[in-house]
Amino acid sequence: MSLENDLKQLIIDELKLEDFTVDDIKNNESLFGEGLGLDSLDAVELVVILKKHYKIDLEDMEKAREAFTSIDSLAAYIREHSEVQ
Amino acid sequence: MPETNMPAPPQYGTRLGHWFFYIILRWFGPAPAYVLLIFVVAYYVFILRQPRRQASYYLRRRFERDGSLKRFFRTYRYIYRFGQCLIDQAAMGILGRKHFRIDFPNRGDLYELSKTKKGLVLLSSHVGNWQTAMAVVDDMAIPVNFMLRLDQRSAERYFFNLSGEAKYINIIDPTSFLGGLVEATQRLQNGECVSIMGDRAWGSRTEAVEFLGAPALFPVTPYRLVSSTEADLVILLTARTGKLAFRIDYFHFSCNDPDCRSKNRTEISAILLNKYVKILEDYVQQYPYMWFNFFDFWSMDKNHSEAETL
Repeated sequence: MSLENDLKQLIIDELKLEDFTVDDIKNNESLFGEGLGLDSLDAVELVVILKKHYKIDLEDMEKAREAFTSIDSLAAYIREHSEVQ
Repeated sequence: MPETNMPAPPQYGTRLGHWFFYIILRWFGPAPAYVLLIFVVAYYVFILRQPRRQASYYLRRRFERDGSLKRFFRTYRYIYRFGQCLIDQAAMGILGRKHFRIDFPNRGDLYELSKTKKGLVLLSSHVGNWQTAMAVVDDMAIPVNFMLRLDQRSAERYFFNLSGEAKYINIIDPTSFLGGLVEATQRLQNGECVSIMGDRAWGSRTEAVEFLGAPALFPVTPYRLVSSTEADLVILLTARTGKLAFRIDYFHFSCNDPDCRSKNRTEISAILLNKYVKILEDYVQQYPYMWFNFFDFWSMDKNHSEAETL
């Protein structure tokens, strides 16, 4: 499974998006607001996912803002910062 | 991604008025400022309608049997206490904490807890002089991140400008990217402390909990931070117990507490929220003029409430 699909599955599981499948989430779709419709509390879980599964810390909030745009950007951030993929 | 919009808390007084109080505090100390406050509060309560309306959200719940006249005088007393606490908080920043007596019996417990570096959510409320609770920064072995917006006119500015060890304090702006929650979560995962208010909504979700006889909407964010990162939760409540004297009460909870074990994140969050509200309710029963929250917590218009907050 690709990193992008891994991420989607983790988001579905951890955020309890029970009505979604991996195929329902587009790689370039906005994660927050319009798009997947996540909110700031879901962002808490995303930060935990990054730490727990990819050992990534988000120290630079500007880069975090870019990373949290879509599945594509999040996967790119993980590829750049994680040794666990 | 749009920035979040927060409502401004009630702001009373002009820049000139703040400056005037600042000069009095700097030169003469808090006592003359308390005297001046008698007349300032009279203006706000007798002349203006908005402070009476904002105070009534809470007072009509706390003292539901009051008639109009009694409520009017309670409003005066309540807003006077509020003003007194604003003066105290500014004075603490301007004059230094050595002029105040802070009784904090659990100081050692908090220090030991901070040393575990598991992450710590420090939950404050708009009670007493809540900034006094922030004076615990020096009692911590870890950096403290305050989720708050520092208004340029507020007394908090003096507090943060002029007290505390800067290297241990970081401000997380709740109007920034995703309500500052990405940064707050990361800080907790780093083993740091995040201080947040339990009686003003951060984030986009609130839950209704029975408070003073009716359901009220409280933010769930602090408890979700705890349940997701498995940080400890410490509730601090401050009471003004006399002239320049405060007491801080301490309550500690953990995801490993017996009633939270084997529960999922949402359930833990609900358990902790209910504990907090019960503690706050006990507090306002004991100190009825020290909960300074001028929003309508009992309005069940969730969309309005959440839009109004974040």
